Amino acid sequence: MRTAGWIHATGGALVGGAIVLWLATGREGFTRWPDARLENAGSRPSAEETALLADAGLSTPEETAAHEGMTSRFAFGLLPGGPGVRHLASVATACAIAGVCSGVAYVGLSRKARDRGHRTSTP
Amino acid sequence: MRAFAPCAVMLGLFVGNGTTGNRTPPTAPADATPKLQEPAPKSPVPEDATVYHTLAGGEAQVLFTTDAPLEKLSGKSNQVVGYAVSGPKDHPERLRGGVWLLPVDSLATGIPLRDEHLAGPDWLDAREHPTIEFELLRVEDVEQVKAGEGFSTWDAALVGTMTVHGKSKEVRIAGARLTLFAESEKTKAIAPGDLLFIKCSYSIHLSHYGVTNKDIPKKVSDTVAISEILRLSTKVAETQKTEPSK
Repeated sequence: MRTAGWIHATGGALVGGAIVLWLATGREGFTRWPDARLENAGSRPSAEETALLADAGLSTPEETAAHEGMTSRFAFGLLPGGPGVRHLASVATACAIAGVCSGVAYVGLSRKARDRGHRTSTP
Repeated sequence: MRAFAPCAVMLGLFVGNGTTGNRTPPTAPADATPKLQEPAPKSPVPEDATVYHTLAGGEAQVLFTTDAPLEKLSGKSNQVVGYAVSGPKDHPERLRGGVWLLPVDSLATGIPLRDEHLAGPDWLDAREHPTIEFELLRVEDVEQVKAGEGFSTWDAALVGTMTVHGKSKEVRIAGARLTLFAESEKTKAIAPGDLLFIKCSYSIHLSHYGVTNKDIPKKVSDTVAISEILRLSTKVAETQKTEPSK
């Protein structure tokens, strides 16, 4: 009984931790990790260029911020971002693991209770 | 206790160091060096015109965004190569032409599997259609917005032909902004030569260009919003190396 309780509690903690991590890393739909291709696909404009373009009326701080939003970073997603252990990590994966473990613990508990019932009823 | 063992095994898999099982997608390698050569002008350049060369491999040039149920799909590229032909000496802002090429496999979203799918046969099919091309035919509705020492900024509509996934359509991109800078100490911090910046935002419909994946429009929107800022110079930067196109 105690073991099953610990398993359920651990599963709950795993799911809770996954949700907290998802909220803390930007509420992304898919798990992502720092990506060299994205880093090389465009650096931030230099301070000189930003100032020059702002003076010329070509860009606004909001537009600059939008460009800077596409950065290579870690984000824990609701769903896996692809194959590979790193990308499989996600809220959905944590829920699946917690669900399977709890299910296995529950089945094990049910079998124990049934076995105990057979032993007591047999003379 | 018997129930605990399989749970421990699965937790171990989850916590694994991630060095195994990662698949390398067959997309362009992580390298900022432009992979395409600048295309040659399609028609003779008038004597009173100046050719501006696109500076690639540095800051992001193209950002795209499309809606999906769980999140906005976004990506960028800095591999656009191309040129613009200025207007006459008294109106250089009235661009007379230009061609830009964007390698499909240079689009990066930050998720390797997504990059692979984007360049795959079910989406933009980089193997059959390696580049997205825009040919500028003319500019319309040119209106000065701002002018100062060594620069002038203009609003204009860019009229040209967009080719995506092998299909071409005439497009009119309204609300584009052009800024011409004469070479100065300030502009040299960005690049040598006289500079031309072209900024525009527009949308395209994937279905108009023959991209008809079954996930459109339920899982991925047919509309892709694109934001571009191209930096061009009368001089090709010495640090910008190009490899011969394959």
